[in-house]
Amino acid sequence: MKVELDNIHKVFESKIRLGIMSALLVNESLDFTALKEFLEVTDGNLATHLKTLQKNGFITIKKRFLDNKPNTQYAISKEGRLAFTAHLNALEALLKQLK
Amino acid sequence: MSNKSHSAPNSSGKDSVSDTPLGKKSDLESPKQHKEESLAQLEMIKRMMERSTRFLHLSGLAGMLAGIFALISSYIVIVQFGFQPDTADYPYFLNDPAVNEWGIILLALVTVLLAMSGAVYLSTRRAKRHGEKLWTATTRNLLRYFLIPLLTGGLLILLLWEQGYIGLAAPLSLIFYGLALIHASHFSLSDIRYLGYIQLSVGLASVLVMDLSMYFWAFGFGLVHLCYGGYIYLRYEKEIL
Repeated sequence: MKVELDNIHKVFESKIRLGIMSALLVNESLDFTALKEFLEVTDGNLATHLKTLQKNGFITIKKRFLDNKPNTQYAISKEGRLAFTAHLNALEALLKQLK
Repeated sequence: MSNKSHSAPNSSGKDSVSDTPLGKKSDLESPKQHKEESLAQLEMIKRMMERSTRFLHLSGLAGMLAGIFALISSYIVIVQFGFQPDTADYPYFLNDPAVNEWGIILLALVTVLLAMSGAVYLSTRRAKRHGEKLWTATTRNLLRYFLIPLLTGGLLILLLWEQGYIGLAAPLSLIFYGLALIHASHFSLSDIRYLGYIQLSVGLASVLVMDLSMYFWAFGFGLVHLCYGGYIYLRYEKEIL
């Protein structure tokens, strides 16, 4: 049996990137600290994965100042939403097929 | 099917998200493995969505505890202090200047504080048991959205009290507490929305029968809390204790 995996995007091969996208899908936007707390990862690790997602155009970044401290807000982009939804659908289809 | 370069050990045994590649074509051999990988991914996605939107470890025991505190303090206020307003501008302190009105205000504050400490303590314990962190953007939101209506109500009650409308304290505390629960339910168990609707209704109804308003208060904060806490406890906690 040939299983269709084409829709499982390479970007989503990382659990952390998958986690970031999951959290951003259900929140308008989240800052770095919030994402770090949810995923329980180190600063450097999170930053790298965020950069990858940004390079792929899956998230948008907004920098601003909050109480005179820089605060970066991350949100899912339209492309990111589409790609992640496609990924979810692919996973579900896969499971159905294997039942 | 080729299976070169198999990746490093998959699970690190930690609860946090480890960064192991998932769903790599070359890593997947059998349909069974496909299925496991996909299920694991969906499970993780679900957990992350939940964790980033709702705090689901509210303790039902804490609800019951709050009910007990409320019953005790309403007994003191009704029976010991003889505080039973029948009108909004109930002239209680004119009748009996021996009773200190600060006693009632202090008792109310202590009751709220005890109930909230119990909720924070027991919910922290539950969250820890589930390996969840307590202080996240989600719990900060939960607290903020719960406190906005609650503090507004508390302030309004004190301002009206100051003007002599002490009979409104019981109904308004029920109403604003109900609003706080409905507001907070977006960031926690959706069940507490119904608890909010009940408190809101009890509060509104108590305005219609002012002379019984303190009993409505004892019913809402005491009995309803006891029952609802018990329901939450049986539904979500029993099996793990």
